Amino acid sequence: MNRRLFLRGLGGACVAAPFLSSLGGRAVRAESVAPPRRLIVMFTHYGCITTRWFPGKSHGPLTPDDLLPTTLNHLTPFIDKLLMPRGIRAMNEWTFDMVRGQGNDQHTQVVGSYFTCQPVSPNSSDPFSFDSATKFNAMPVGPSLDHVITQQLRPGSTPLFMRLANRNDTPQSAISYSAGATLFPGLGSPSQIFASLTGLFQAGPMSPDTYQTFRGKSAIDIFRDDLDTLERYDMSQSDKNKLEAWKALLDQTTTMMRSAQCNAEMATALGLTQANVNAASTSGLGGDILTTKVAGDMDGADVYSNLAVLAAVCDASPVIVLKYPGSYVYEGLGVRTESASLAHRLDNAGLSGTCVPRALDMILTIDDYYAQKFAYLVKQLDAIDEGDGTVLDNTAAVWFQEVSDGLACNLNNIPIIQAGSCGGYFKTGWAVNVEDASPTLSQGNSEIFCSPDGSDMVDGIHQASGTDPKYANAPINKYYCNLMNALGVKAGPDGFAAANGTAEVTKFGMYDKTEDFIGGGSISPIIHDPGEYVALKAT
Amino acid sequence: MMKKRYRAALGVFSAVLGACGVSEHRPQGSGGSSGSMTGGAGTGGAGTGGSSAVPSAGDGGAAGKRTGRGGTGQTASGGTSGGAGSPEGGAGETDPSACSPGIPATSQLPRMKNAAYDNVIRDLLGVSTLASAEGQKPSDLLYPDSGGALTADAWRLYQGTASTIAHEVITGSKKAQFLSCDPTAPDCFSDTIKSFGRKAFRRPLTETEVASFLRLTNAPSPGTPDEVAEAILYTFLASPSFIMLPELGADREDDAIKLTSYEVATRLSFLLWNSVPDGALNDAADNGELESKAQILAQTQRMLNDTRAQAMFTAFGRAYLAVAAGSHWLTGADHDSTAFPKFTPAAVAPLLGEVDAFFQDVTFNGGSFRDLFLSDVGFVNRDTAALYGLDPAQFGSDFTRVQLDANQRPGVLTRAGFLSTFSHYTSSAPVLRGAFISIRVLGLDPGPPPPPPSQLPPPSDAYTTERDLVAALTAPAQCAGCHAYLDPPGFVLEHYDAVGSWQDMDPRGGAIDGTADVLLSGDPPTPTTISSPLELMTALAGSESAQRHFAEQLVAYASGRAPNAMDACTVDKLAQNVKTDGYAVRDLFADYTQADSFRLRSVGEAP
Repeated sequence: MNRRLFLRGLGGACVAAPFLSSLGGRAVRAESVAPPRRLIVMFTHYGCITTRWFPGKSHGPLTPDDLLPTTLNHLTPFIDKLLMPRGIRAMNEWTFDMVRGQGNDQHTQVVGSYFTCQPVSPNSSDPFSFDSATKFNAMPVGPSLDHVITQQLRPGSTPLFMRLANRNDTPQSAISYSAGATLFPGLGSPSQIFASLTGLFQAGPMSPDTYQTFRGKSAIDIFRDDLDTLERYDMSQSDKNKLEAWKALLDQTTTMMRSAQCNAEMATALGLTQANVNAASTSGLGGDILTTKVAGDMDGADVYSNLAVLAAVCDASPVIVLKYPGSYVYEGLGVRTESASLAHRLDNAGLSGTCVPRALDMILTIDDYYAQKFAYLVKQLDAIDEGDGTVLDNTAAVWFQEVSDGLACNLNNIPIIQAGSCGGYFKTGWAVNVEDASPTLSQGNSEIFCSPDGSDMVDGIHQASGTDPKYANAPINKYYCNLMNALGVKAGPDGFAAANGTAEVTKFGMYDKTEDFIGGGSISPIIHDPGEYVALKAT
Repeated sequence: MMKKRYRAALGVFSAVLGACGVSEHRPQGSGGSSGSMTGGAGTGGAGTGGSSAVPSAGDGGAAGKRTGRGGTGQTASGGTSGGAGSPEGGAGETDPSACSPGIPATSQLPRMKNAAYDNVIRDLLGVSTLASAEGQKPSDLLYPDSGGALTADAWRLYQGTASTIAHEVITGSKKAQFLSCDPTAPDCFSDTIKSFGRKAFRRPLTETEVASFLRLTNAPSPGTPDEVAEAILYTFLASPSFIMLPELGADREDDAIKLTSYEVATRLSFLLWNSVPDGALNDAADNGELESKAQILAQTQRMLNDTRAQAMFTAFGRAYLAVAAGSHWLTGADHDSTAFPKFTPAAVAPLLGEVDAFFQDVTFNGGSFRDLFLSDVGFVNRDTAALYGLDPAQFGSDFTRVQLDANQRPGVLTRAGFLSTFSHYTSSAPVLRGAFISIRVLGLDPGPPPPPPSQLPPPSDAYTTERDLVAALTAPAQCAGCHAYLDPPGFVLEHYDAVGSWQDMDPRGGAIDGTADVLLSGDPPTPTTISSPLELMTALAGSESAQRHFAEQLVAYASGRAPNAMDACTVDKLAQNVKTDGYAVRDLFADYTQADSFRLRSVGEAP
C-alpha cells in the first residue's frame, strides 16, 4: 500500500451512534472532534543482537545513516517520526546470584513484571528452583499497563490484545494482566479479531430516523431489561458481578463513536478480506503461520498488523497489543531451531553448551524479520490520513522487547523504538538517552559468543553478553508515565492513575528499582524517581 | 547393560517416591508440572522456553487461588478469571477426592460454551456454517470459552455473530425455521416471539418479555417485514438469557434449591446433546414431568439412544484424553517422512479422527471402560492404513471400520493417533507416553519436580535403543525419582515407533525391550512387571486408580468444573460401576443424572 488510503478531508470527523441522545442521559459528543490517541505495542520475546540493533548514536537527531547499518534499517523512510528512548531498564531481572530481582525464572518474572512493574507471586528466593508454582506459574500482583490505561479511558473495557499465531500464553510468556494474578488471554485467531472489528463498521452516515437506528437502540433496551430481570434474583456476588459487568458494556456501546473510515472499504484496502483473514487463522495443527504469505507480500504477521491498523482506525480500544509468540519456530525464515533456545545460542533449554551452528546468523534473521514487521506496521499506520496528519501521528507505536540481549537476559539497556508522536506529545526524529544524554551509550556485548571472533562455548549464567549493569538503568516506569499522559490518563493526588483523577501521572507500579523486587514484595512499595521523562516530550 | 541400569534406577523407586510426592486423584486444573520432565535429549537446564514435556491434567495455572496484593493505586478491576481448570469454578482447598455429602455451589449464570453455541444455532435455525464468513462455524467468530464476567471483546463478538446469523437466516433459505407465518399478519411477530423465545430461552417468555421484544415492531420509521424479523432474531441471539443458561428456581428441598423442570431440561439437553431441548423434552418440562429421578432417567435414556448423543461421547473422549489446543495431540504430529515413509502429513487429521471415532463407537454402542483399553476396532483410511500394516490401496478417503490385531492394537492408546503425537519428530518418546498414562490415565500425581541436575549425559549414538538413551538421561537420582514410575508404561509402548507402527527393532539398531515394572497405583506404590502392550492395557482396564480417575473425569466433564469433595461422593458411586465388568460408559452418564446435585443447587459462591 504505497499511497494514501484516503484523502484529507475526512479529518477527525466521527460518527456517533445516533440513538445516543435517547439513552441514559449520556451526552453526545460533537461531530468533529480531535482524533483519538492510542498506544500500539509490538512485543517480542528473547531480545536481540543488541550490537546490531542499536545505532551507534544514543542521543541526538536521527538520520538515515544512523539506521542503515543496523537491524532497524527498514525504518529509515520514517526516520522523522521515530523516537528511540535509550538508557532504560525494565524491572525484575533474573540473575544467578539474585542481585537484581526475584529468583523465580529468567522469563516468568520478567514478562510478569514487564508491563506491571509489580513482583510476581509466589516468590522464589532460589534462582535454580524447579518448583512449578514459582518457576512456571507465578504471576504479577497487579495489573499491566494496557489494562490500567484502558480502565482509565474506557471503564469496563479491555485492551485489544492479539496473540500472534494464536499461541496461548502461560505465566512464563504472558504480559497482560487485568488484575493481580489474572492473566488476560486476549484474542488469538485473526478471524475472531476481524469479527470483533466488523461489528464496529459504519454503513455510512446514519440517520436517527432509520429502522436500523431504531433497532440498535431497542436491542440495547431489551438486553438491559433482560439483565435487570436477572438482577432481581438472589444470587452469589460473583454472578451479580457478571450482570453488572454486562450492563457496563451496554453503557459503553451507547457511547461508541467511530471514524467514518471505519468500514468495509478500509478493511479491504488493508488486505483484510475474509478469505485473507481466514488464511491467516491457524488450524491448531501448528506450522509457521506468521511468515506464510497470505496475499502478495502480506504474510500472517502482517495480517495481524493490519488488524491493529483497522482497530486503530475504528478506535476499538486505546491500547492495541501485537504480541509475538514465545518458543516459536520461524520455519519460513529457514530457522528450524525454536526461538527460546536459539536466543541462548543453543538448540536446547540449557544455559551453557556449545554454540549451535550459525546461531548468530539465525538470531539476526529473526531480528531482521521483527524489524520488517514493525516497519510494515508503521508504514500502514502512516498511509491513512487522520485529522491534520496520519493515523501514525496520533499513535505511539512502540516495539518493546522482553530482554536486551537474549543470552544474558539483561534488562538494562532495553531496546525500545517508538514511531509516532501520539498527537504531538512526543519528540520524534531523535534518539534520547534519558539516563544522561550521553551519545555513546554501549550497544551491549551480544557477539562475544558464537561469532568468528568469540568463544564457541556459551555462558548464559554470568551475563557476559549483556550490557554492564552499571549503565542504562533509567526506570521504564517513567516511560510508561509518558505514554499514559500522552493518551490522556489522569492521576490522583498520589500520582498513580486513578478514576476521576485530574493530575499528571507520575507513578506506575510497585517498584521502579529492580533491586527492590528481591523478596517478591517484602519491601514496602516505593517509587524512587517519580515523573515522566521530560526529554522524550516535544518541546 | 541397559536392563541393569534400569533396575538400578528402580532401586531408588520406593525411597524417592516420597520426594516425588506421588499420590492419586489429582484434581483437574490444578496447574501441573509443565516443563518438569525431560522430553528428549539435551533439555533440563534452568529453563528458558518452558515447553511442557509432561501432559498435565488441565491447562492453566492456579489463577484465582492466589491472593494478589493490590498494586499501588492502580485502578484496573476484576476482569476475567485466570482460566484454571474449568471456566465456572476451580478446585477447592479441601481434599477433592474424599466424599463430603452435600450439593456443591454452582454459578446460576453459566455461559453457553462455544461448541454448544454451534449446536444450538443448528437446532434452532438449521444453520451450521456461515456463507458470509467463508463457511466458518458460528462459534469460529466467537471469543474463546472463558469464565467470569463478559469482556468487551466477547460481547462485541456475540453481537457481531448474532447479526451475521440473523441476516443470513432472514435473507436466505432458512427463513422459515424462524418465521413460520406471514409477517404482515396481525399476530405473526407476536407468535414468533413466543414460539422462538420458548426454544431459545428454554422456557416460556413472560408477558413482559414478549412486550419488550414487540418494541421492535413499533418503530417510528417502520422497517420492512424482513428488517423487523431480522431485528427480532438478532436480539434473541444476543440476549443475556440466550447466551447464559440461568438457573433461577427458588423452591427448596431440605437445605438445597430445586431446579425447575425447565432448568432440569436445560441441564439434560446441554449435557447429553450440548444443545437446546427438543420438543419431547420441552413438553416434559411444560408438563412438570422432570421432577423425580425416575422421570429424569426416562428422558436420559431416550436421549442417550439418539444419535445426537454421539457428539457428546466424542467430546467426553477428548476431555478424558486431554485433546486440547496446545496438547501433544495437536502439536506433536510432525514427523520426519524420510525416516518414516509410511507417514505423510495427510495422515494427521484422520489419525485424530480415528481416536474420536473409536471413542464414540465404543461408548455410544454400549461399550465399557474396559473396552476403551482392549477393543480391537480401528478406523482406517488410505492415509493411515500403512501405519497399521494394511494395504492403502484397499481403502478410500473415508474411514473403514476394521478389526486390528488384538495383540498389537488393544484399545485407544495403541492407536497411531496417540502413539504418533506422543513422539518426537524422529523418535518415539517413552517419557511422553509413559507420563500420559501415569498422570492422565492412572491419575498419579508426581507433585512438584526436584531441582534439575547440573549436567545431563549428552545424547550419543552409542545407545542402541531409545529406551536405553532415556534411561541414561534420567538415571541421575534427581530425575529417577519421578521418571522411575512415569516412564515404564512408555517403555512397554516402545513396540511402536514415532509414527505408531509396530516395531521389534529400534531405529537405533537394538532389539525392543518392552518389559517394564509399571506402577499402577500410588497406594501402595508397588510396581507390576508388564511385558507387552496387551498386558499393559489389560492392567490399565483393571486398575482401580484408572477406574476412579475415569469416573472423576466423567464428573468433571458433566459438571463443567473441577470435582470437589461433594462431587467425590458421586465419583465414588460411578467408580464402583466402572469397576463392574461390562458396565456401559453410557450408563454412567445416566447414573450421573441420578445424583442429587444434578437436579438441586445450593446457594453460595462457586469454588
